[in-house]
Amino acid sequence: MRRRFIVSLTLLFVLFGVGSGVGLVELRRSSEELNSLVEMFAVEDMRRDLQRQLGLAEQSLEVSGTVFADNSDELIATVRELERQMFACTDCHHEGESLQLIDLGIDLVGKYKSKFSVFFTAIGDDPWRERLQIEVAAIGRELETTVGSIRHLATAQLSEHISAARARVGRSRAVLTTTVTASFLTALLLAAGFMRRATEPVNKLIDAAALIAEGQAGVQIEHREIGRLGVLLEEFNEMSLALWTQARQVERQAVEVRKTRDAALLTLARLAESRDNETGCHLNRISAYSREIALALARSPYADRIDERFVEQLAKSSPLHDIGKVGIRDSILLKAGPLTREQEEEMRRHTFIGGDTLRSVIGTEADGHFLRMAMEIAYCHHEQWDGAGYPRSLAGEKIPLSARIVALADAYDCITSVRVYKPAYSHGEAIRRIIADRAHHFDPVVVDAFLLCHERLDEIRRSTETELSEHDQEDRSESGILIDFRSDRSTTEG
Amino acid sequence: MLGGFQGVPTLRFTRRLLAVFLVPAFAGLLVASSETDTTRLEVGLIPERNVFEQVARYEPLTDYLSNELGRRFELTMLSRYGNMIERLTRRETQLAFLGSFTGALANAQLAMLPVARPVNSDGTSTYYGRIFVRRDSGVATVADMKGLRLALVERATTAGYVFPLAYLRSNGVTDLENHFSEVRFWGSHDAAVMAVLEGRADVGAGKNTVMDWLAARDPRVVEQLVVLASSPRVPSNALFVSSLIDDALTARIRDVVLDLHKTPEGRDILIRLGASRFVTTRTKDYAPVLELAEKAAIDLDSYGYINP
Repeated sequence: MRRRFIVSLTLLFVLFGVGSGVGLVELRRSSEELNSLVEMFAVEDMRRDLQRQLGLAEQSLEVSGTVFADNSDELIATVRELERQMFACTDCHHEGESLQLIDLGIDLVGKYKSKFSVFFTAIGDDPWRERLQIEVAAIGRELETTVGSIRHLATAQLSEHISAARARVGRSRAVLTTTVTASFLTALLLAAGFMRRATEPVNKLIDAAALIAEGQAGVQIEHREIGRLGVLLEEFNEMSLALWTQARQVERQAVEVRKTRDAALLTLARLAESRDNETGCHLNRISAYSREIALALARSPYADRIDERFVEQLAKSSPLHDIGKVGIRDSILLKAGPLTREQEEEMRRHTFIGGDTLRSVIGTEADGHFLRMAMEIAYCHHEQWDGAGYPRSLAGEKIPLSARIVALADAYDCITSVRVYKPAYSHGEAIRRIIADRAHHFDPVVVDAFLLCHERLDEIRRSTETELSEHDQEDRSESGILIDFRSDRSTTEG
Repeated sequence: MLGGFQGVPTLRFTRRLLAVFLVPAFAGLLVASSETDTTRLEVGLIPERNVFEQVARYEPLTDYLSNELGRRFELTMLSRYGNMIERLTRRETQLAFLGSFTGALANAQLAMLPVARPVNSDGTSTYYGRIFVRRDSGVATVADMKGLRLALVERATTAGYVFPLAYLRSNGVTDLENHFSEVRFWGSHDAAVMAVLEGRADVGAGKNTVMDWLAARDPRVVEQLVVLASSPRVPSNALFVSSLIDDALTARIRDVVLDLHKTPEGRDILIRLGASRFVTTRTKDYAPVLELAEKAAIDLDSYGYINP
């Protein structure tokens, strides 16, 4: 990346340098061109001076003597300046025609200087001096004509050179503008590219960290970075992998803990069941009945509350509904006859004992729903739709749906099972009694669902009955005792 | 001239801008120049060789004097020798590099004083006059010159006029027009030498320095010419200062030129002049010239003429 950066920067500098160089060269040429024109045009000033001086000199040549000498200083200065100017023009003008004229002018200046000096010191009025006078004047006129031609040529070239100079200045401006703009845009693109390139790994790191925070440990960052950033990304990947490994381990341990806990709870429930006089398959049947009723509710007005998870959790949590019975004394729990009011009150406490016990073990969110449902059921499976139940006399929708389902399943099992205080009644009798308590003891919607699936419940019941001994069935069938399944057993009158 | 640029708006703007700033500046310069005009000192030069080259040779010296003394020294080319006194008087030229005779004349008529003169690269600061003829002419005495053509330089030169006049008078010739068939002034020493050498004259007079300079370039001078007489040595061209200049400034001018050889810039100026240094020059150095003038019957106090 560093190498690419250096190469890009070098290219940028080269681009800028070349563009600026071309522009500056063009500007310099324009400047030189105009300067040379100005120099050339300075000759025009000299021409005017020369014309005047030559005119005076020509007049003075005839007069000679002091008058002539009075004019000579200016003439000498003019001719010297003209010579200097012409040499300057030679340096800056290279066009053939101009150069020829300027060379001719320089040559004439040399001749004029020589001849003028000879004349300046000549005395007498002989023909030799007259010839000198004529020669000096002739050279002077030729010189003036030549300088005039230089001036005319310069005038002719002026517009052309100015146009060329203006075009060159325009070109320079365009080149410089383009260069600056291109350099600026290139620099922006390079900066954006390098910025993206530089921030990409960091963004990946941030995204990966967010995924880990969401629980997706083990996410890996693909990269081609080297150097310190590459080391950082590699270390992050290793850290993510380690987190994933640890998370899996923790998860496995949590599953083990949950399994252990569930087993303990189920054991506790079975313990409570075993202390009671109920048949050993009671918990299995409650689970199965609750599942069937819940499935049937999927076709009821409660359909939006029923999903697969609800059904599974209900099947799993319903066996714990009477777990509170472990806290009820044997003298009450196992009493064959009717309970006294005090005993009845204590018996009813199994709902609180069970609910509180389950509340105390509600743990992580993952299994919290299941235990929370079990807790609701433990608290509320003796509540009634019309509010006549216990322990809190809840009514209607205030009773959790899970508890309403388990209440009906428990009642069905109670009616169709043998108890120490009653025989097992038929499936038909159970249907009759449950219908009779529709909208009293039971939620009418749940009763309707039960009626949709009662045959399935009967099949389950029959399949579990084969596991019971014939003896038990004979002893406990048709005893003729009317039981109130609302409280698991009949209470003593008075 | 700048009218050609009027089609270029940028340049027109630049010119206006320049005008805004430069007009006050030029006004200041004009005021300054009018002030410095009062300090202007004119330095006259005798046209002893190409006038343009002479200006180029002496210009560094006047520039140097201007810088050193804070006055503006400007060169002016004096007219031919004879008209010089009139011009010096009319233009009030304060300084001049004058030959031996014109210097003596300026001293006598204008009270100009010699200050210093350059020492030539060969160590001399004087020259002398020669009278010469062609070797094949057979002329050896003044008597032999009878009826021949005489080539002089100018009426205001020691070597080219005063010395031959004094020499001829000393040898009995007081009327040149009668002794010679033609007496002609050739304007410069080299012209007089070349006139004899090329047969346009028979007897000539001129400076030894010019004749030697020509001899170095043209071997015919040595081969074909013979010198019949030489004058005493007289000072070469010297710087004269007007008596109107105060003594302090005269002293400063003298000091500057006498010290030229002590600085690199001064040495460059001396090289341009073909000299190694300047030496002090006094009025008494012109005694040989006065003697020659006397022999030539020239009264310096009243000598005056205008060249045609």
